[in-house]
Amino acid sequence: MEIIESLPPSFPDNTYVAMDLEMSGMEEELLHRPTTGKFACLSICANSDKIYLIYEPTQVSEVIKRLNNCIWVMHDAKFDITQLRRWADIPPRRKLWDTFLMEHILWGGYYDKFSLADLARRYLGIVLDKEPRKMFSDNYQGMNGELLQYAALDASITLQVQQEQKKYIKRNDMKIWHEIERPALFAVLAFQGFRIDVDAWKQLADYNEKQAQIIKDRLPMNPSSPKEIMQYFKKHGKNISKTNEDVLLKIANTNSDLGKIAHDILEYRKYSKRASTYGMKFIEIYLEKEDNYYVIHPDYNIIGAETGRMSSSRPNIQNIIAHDTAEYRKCFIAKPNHKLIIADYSAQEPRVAAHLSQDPKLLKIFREHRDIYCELAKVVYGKEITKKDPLRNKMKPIFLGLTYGLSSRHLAENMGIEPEEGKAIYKKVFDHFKVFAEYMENIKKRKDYVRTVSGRRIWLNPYSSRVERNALNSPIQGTSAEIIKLALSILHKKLPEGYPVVAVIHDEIVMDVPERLADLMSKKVTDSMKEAAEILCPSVPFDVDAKICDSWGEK
Amino acid sequence: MSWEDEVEIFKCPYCGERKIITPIGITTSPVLIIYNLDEKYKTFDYSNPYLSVLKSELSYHRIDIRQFRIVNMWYHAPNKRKDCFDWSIQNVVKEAKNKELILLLGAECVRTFTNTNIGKVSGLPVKSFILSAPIILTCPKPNLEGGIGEFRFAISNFIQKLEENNLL
Repeated sequence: MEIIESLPPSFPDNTYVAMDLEMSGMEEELLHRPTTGKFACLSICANSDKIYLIYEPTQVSEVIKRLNNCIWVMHDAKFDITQLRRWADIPPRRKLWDTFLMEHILWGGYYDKFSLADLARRYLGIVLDKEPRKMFSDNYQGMNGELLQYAALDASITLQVQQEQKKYIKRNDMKIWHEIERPALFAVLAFQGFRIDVDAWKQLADYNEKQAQIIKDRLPMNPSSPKEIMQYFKKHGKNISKTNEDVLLKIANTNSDLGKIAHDILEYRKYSKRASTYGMKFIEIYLEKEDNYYVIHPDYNIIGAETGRMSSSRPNIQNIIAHDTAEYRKCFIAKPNHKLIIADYSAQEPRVAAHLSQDPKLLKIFREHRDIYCELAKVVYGKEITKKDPLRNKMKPIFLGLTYGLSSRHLAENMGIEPEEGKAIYKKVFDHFKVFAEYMENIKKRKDYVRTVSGRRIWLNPYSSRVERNALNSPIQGTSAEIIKLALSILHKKLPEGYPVVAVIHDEIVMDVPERLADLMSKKVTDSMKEAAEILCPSVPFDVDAKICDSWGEK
Repeated sequence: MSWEDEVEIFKCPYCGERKIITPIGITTSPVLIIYNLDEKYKTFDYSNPYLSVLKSELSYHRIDIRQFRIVNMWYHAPNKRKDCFDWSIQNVVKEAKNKELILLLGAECVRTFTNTNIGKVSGLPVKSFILSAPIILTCPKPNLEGGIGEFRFAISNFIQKLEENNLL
């Protein structure tokens, strides 16, 4: 391996060139932000035996210029591009191969680990020592011989891995890369910071902590100790072997003294869980000042699950509770003189299921823009209901449960009904939507892989106890993820300058836009989301609900 | 291994444990698989979930697992006694004598015999400071919940080595 410490030459057009950036002194929690650390070196490799290294960030733009017509090969391009943009203009580009994302496209569900070292081991049969990397973070003293070798090797390995991956990549995998994943990567790189009301968040954190303490003080035992809870209940004539929510909820519903205690324990758990999960620690390290307010930029994984679904971390904004309180979401607000637009698909997964199964009755419901859950109530209970009927909410877990392979017994448990009733509900649904039932029966027999509508393979583990459930749900979840990613990139193309997306949560896109543009932007996001769905699932019309508001908690 | 050696392994000479996990498969096989089965499954034969997955993956390639010698790293249920552990390892080393290919199955085995983290070397050939077989390969335990890929990757390397060295 020859290491040349100078700028690379201009290579012929469409040459595969691996690039690997090393940064020093980065904060571990902020690797996704261009706010910490310093440029250490950029290694460039067009031939695995010859590696060019530059140490000056001022040379980055010249490298970018010289390699502009080459196909860039990077492992986790999200990191490299985010950081390189500190020193050079890098617009979204077609000529990019991300070995990390490609590996996910190829082997989602098959492998669990996708680091460069894992790929080197699997494709090249070599052990890549990542220990020297620590020297970039702990007391970095400048490049030395070992770090030089390390940086050069990373670029060389990335290129060699790419050459091996290429042997496995099929035409359709490239289509998924070019039409869904790569554009989504650039869309995510363009996300804006999501404004947060730090004082409101702090008040909420303090409130939950106080509430937990108040309840703890009035309880006759330590509510964090299952042993003490069981002892207390035994002493008062109630033997319990577990202290989980189900058990305590049953007692809490008894309208007795013990019921009150059980209720308080559950309340304590709720507040203390909120206090510990969503305290100031959840946000403080990620706060960035923008004008006179704070924003956070979560780290989005373009492929965060084997199905292709996106995930978020640092902080995990997708995990902020919404089902039993909107208070946390209310802390995320529009910037001054701006509005938030929150747009989500209505019944996205049932629509995807209708497209995948081509069940004529399901298709008809959606084509006539009827509500799937109201229709389901008609099938299950023979009742015509409106969207406001409380029964409608009970219908949601039935349909979603079916697509997640939820057993009738578990459905009954979730709905608080007898197991026989659960069975009868499933029978009615399957008898009515026969083609859908057939589709489910067929797909759950798969033991190797299933596909999304774009043709993405999601590998199954035949030895897993969840193989049936994964076979049933992966095509639906994977397709839904592809739709939202495609929507993000369509919107990105429409709004290349000042892309106003601040968050994406499964089937929901949140934008922060100037108030005067709110209506226009609302239409743009709605159109983009519908267009994406129509491209991937043309047999079903998708409805999008968009709301213009001031806080994320308002929808 | 001599007849006397085999007879001796009816109880642990240190703790006296009589529930000995005896090796299975053909004694004269040039291939040894060393595993460390999870106690929670209680079974230490081919019906153990991990061995059963290995068996079915090999049979997919038309290879009968029973032709190999298979030994558990612990000769009885693991405890905290060093002398019991050393005795088990000595027995494994005896089993490994003159073998041409050894497959180390599971992170614990790989750490014990190579002092390496399996994540770094999974599916690859390694050197051992205790075992002297010309080829020593590593393999993770089959993942019963996540992806099966790492296990299959290691097994395909194992099969390749068996074929290359005429060990089938």
